[in-house]
Amino acid sequence: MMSLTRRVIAKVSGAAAFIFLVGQRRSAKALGSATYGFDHLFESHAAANALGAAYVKQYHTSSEELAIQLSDKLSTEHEAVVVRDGVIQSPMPLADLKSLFSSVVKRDFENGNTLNVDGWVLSKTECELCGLVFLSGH
Amino acid sequence: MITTGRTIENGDVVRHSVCIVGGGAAGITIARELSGRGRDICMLESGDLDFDVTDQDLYQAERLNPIFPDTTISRLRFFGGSTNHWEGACHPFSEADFEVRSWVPHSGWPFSLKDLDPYYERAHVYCELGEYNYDVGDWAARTSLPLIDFDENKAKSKIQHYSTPTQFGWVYREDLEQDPFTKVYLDSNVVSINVAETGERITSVTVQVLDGARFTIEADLFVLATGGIENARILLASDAVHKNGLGNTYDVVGRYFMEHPIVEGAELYLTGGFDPRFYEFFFYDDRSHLGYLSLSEEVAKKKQLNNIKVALMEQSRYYLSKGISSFNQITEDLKGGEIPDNLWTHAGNIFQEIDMVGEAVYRKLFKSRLLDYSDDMVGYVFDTMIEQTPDKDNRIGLTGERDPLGMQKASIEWSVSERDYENMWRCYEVLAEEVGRLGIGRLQLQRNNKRLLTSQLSFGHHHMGTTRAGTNPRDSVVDGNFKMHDIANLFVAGSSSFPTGGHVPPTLTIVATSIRLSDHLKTLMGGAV
Repeated sequence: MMSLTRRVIAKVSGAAAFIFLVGQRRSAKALGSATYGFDHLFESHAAANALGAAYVKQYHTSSEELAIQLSDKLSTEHEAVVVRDGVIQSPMPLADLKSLFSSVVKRDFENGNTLNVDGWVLSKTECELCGLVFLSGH
Repeated sequence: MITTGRTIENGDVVRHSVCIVGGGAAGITIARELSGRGRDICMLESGDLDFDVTDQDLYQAERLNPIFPDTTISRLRFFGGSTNHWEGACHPFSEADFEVRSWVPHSGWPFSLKDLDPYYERAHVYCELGEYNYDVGDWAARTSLPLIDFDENKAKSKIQHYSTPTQFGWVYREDLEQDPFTKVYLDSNVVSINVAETGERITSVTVQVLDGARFTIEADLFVLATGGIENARILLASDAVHKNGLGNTYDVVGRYFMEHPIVEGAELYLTGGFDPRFYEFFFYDDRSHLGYLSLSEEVAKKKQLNNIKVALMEQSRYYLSKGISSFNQITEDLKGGEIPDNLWTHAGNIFQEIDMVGEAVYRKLFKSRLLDYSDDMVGYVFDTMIEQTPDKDNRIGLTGERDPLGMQKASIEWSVSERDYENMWRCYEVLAEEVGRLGIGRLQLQRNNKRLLTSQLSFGHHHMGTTRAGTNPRDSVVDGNFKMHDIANLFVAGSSSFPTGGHVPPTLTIVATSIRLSDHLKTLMGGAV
């Protein structure tokens, strides 16, 4: 299994977390929102997966718990953001979603809402998203 | 004038007004300050004008913890003392360093930063540092080098200035040679401080020349300035009247010994823009300066932390390779007959960075580089000086073994508490949150690197606390004027009298407190300061 080296972290949180959001899907028109798959959320799926695996191993969490935590957190920022079934649903354009994630990560650091994963001091939100990446592969 | 103890006959008694024991930063500063006041001053220096291995060997001590550095390497025993090999880094202690901090046992100085501030300014002249200015905003403006935009309530950028570095023995030698009121005796080792039978006043010191005469120096005032280990050793060895050693009624002399452990305890990897120039050595006004990171006093107080000084050391892919680190850890553990912890993690690291492990093997075998990209700079090591909490069990004592002068050798008991290391990790977390918030990068704490706190531990080689200052003789040796409690005419200069060691190098504070002591001595000698 890939361990959490500098190369992994650089690919997950490089150039500020989440700016590598890709894989936008337009299939959820009924919800009036776009759906963003996080199976291709980061520059490197393998890197996000490695961080997620380390996080899940260390903090023993489940996919359902993570989805609820993330939905709650993002909904306080923007009411229409929902995380479920391995995707993120939001009416926001991709650029705004990126900006939202970046601001949540920044606020995590501001408020000491961080986790220590294999020695890395990381935003809880970036850990949770990577945790979902890992768990969605199972 | 500068002479040698070898000119004095065995059994002679020589009289001076003031006797300074030790010719390092503290001793030379005091001699210069007291000069020209019409009183004859003597300074006793163990060594010669240059390095001599026989003199140097007198520093041999028993180190009960083998990771503590060899004192025959960390100190220098010739005129100028350890300023003959210091780095030159200077920064005053902070306001909090002088205060009683409820979370730091035995903290609190008998005077404040405000009291010492004017002496720091004068110390700058002795250390050839130029302007006394540690305002980082001002330095950033005048150099046009950007600062990290820290939340001031959490972290701060600070600046340390570099002395040339001033080798006190060279820089002030001519002044002392020309000074008609000051006599420097080289080759003169104080083996005993002699106290009157009443036990309240020093009458003389006994001086032994290596393979030479033994003589006596009498004086009105005595200043002991031989460093954090030797000050304690001489006091403990002076046991003719005070059987536990001089000033040691309450078993405090030699205790609370502190160093500045230096740990490369965290690594910063950049994920965003960062202009590091203020945090690299830079030249301005013909002098070197270095920006560093520290916690704000507010957050240190709120989280009850000892502060740290973090220098950012840019490092290459090769230096920061986890694969190589894991390879070394496994090798070290197996050599010691142990199965490494987290073996699979180490194996994963090696597998992922097999190129760097291969590079390491190649470098070892062929003494050259294999992969050009191995030297690419990819991050920063947090080179961290930590403040050690005073601990009574860290102590300088005496062994039964005697040196060529007939003095008992020093024993050194020293370790760093778990609490102090835990403190460092907690400080890193504050800095990690700040670099994350600012989008600079992510910090990895190296808690799992066992070698970090053993074979890779570095030292400031700063010996402090063994004659600590305070108001209560039960937990201190000297008072606020660095005068020994209950002894009318003996003063102890230098970092041995620091109650706490701060998180910055001590030389500037040694010089500043020595000037302050000199002003006090001037009042005792009569006349204006």
